[in-house]
Amino acid sequence: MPHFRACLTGAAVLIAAVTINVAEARTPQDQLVIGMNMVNLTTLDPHNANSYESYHVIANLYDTLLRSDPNTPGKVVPGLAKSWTVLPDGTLEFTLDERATFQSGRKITAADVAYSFQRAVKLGLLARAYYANWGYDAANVDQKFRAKDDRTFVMEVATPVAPSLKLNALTRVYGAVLDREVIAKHEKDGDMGRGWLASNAAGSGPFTLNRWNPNDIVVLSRFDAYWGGEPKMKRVLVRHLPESQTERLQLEKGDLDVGFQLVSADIDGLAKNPNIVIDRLVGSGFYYLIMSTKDPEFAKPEVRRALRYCINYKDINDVVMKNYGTSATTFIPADIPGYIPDIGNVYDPAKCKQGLADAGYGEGFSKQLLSLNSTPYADMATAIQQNLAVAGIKVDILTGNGDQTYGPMRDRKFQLGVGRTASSAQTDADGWLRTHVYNPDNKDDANLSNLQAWRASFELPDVNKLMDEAQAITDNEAKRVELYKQALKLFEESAPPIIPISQRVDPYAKSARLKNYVGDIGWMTRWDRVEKQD
Amino acid sequence: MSTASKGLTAWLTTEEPNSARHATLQNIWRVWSRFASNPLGVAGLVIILLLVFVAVFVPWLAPYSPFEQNLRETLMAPNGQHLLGTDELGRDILSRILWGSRITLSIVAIVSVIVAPIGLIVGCLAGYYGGWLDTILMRVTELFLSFPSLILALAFVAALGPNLNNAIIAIALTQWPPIARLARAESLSLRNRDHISAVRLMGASSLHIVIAHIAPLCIPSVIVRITLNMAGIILTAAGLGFLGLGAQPPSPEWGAMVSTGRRFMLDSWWVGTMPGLSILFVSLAFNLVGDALRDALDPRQE
Repeated sequence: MPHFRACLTGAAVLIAAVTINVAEARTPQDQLVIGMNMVNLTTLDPHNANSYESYHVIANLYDTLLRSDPNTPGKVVPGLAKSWTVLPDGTLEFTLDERATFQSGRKITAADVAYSFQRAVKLGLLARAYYANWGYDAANVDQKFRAKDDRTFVMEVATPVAPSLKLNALTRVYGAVLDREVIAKHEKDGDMGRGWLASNAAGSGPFTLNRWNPNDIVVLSRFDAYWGGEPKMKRVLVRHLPESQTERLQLEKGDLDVGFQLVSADIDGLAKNPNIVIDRLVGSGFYYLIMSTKDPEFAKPEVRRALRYCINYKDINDVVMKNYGTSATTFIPADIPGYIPDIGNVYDPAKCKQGLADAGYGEGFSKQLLSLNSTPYADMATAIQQNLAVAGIKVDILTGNGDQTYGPMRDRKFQLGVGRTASSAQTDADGWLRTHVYNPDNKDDANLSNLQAWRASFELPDVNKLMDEAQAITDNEAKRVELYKQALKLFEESAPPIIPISQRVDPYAKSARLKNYVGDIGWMTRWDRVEKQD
Repeated sequence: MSTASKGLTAWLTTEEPNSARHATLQNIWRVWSRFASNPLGVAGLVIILLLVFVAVFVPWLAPYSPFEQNLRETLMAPNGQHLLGTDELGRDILSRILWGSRITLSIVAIVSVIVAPIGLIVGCLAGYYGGWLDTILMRVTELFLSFPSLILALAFVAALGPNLNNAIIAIALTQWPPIARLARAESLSLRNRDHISAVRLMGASSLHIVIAHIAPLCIPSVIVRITLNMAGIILTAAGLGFLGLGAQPPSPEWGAMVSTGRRFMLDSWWVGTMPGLSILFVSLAFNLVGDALRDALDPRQE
């Protein structure tokens, strides 16, 4: 009998729990709840940020010298610097906003800015490559980045680089300004806070880091005295939700305000919900197919040229890449200066077959294609596999995790691969072209694995020369763009082993309750102006 | 016809067999009639026979190619044209499941063929000879048994590289130890039997005794064990496929199909459900047949 009663109570509790669950959940009015897959959130060090996820969190902990206007991509607006001037020799002078203070309460000085940029170069973290590209290295940063006075920071020229490139880049995460006094307290063996900053923050942003449990949760608390005005949200909770469908259900129920990294099917499902708004951040990476020119077949330009005709770009973009990317035919998209219409991808199965036959491969050949085992890579690989099968090229797909897939590509030991170049949006042709066409040193031990052309063992000295020349032009925008155009054209005419398939898009879903949530294409979305309405 | 079959039945059930062959056939008949009296076992057998039939004749049975994509007809619900609907690349799910039966069946067959002899030999040798050979062989067996089979298979595939052949090798490596143990137990109980002693007194070598007299007597229980294991083999293979470590795309492996279908569970339930049901029915069938076979082969049943 007691058993029976216990059962009954249990059942009652269960029913109550279920009923409560059914009731409409709602996130608190003054808290923003964001769901994302945190696997790639591996550090909070602004100079080592490497992912969409880490950019978003860091953007709210730190301020950058300049900001990009989320409503007009490409437009640079004041951040910590209220104004800036470009001197005739290309030197940049920034005047800091006198209101700006760190979360520690200390005024931000030009010395802090200089320290931050010097750290970016000296530590050799990811940010270094960024600055190395402009000629800065550990030996010269102490002279090149300096405080002229308390309020004026000077960035001298190391190698000639168009100032607009630098200004744009400083709006991103690597342009964050760090509190050197707080860092000094946690420094170990002169590591400039490298160990401590990976999981802590010392910035001036609108939110402070309250808690971060990797692969679980990030809690940000409002920094009441934020110099840019008190944030509306008292707290931001970022939750680790690796399953897209969980995110979707929670968004529909109102347990989440924003959801990142949803898969295509769930984006389509949520788009039908009147309480959810789908927004798309256009990224500057490409989903691409890459061939290694070390391979005897792909070493032949005729084969590469023919192969480009084999792929049904339209169908792949319409179906497989829906919500992940938009159609791309070449490496500079239509809205960027330097775009050339009518070059690049064309689907023509007849030309594909003819081209392969002319190259002496009428019977085709077999190749291995590397792909991540996740969406949309595996589907893209399968679609390409079928396209190539029609042309007689037998493709075996090998799926794996990041290391298994990108590892052989970085080591230049592969035949075919699909992947994605990951970077935040670029508004300049340089950023679009460089990672794909530039390869200054084609030796195996040069280890330029972040350059796709190097991965493909593909070097075009003339393209390199044009790229170097273009970057160095500081005073003539039209001429600079013209040089990028020439570089692109030359690259496309040389039967490149890298075929762009889609331009990266990062869709996210947000609750219709949110006001002022404006996604930034540079992944520097700020959460301090976000409000909720009912 | 009826008298003939009656005659056959009488011949098969007569008390005194005329020859050794007669006795063997009588034995098979007894096993079969015991098996046939178990309706669940028969149902399982029917499913397995159907699976074999499909696997053999799939080129004529499948309405579409399992690889042909139609990006304009993706994620279609089951309808007259596509009885089980289409997947995310517009491939006919029914055709893919039918072709997938070949993969499943070949995994089961190859693993069984690898595993049975290895387990039998290791077990019989260990059981008959005893001593240090037994110690060494059994410790190795226990080493393999101390891991959950899926984890061990995962580790092997991760080390060897993900593809179907490696998955088969990995599954085989995890499946032989239980059989070896079983065979050892059987041969332990057999080696002091009178008829074995008789053979030994006639001067037969130990190896001859193991191969010709002990191993054959272990076979029935090994067969039962393998049949029961087949369900496990199917599930492990599907598990590896689900994790992307088995058959690689676009091969229509059921586990991999469930894995893709999971992404569309909320909107397009059929993509993951159909291959999932196939796995369910086939592994259920192997379990039922294994059970019925155990009952049928057990002489104590009489």
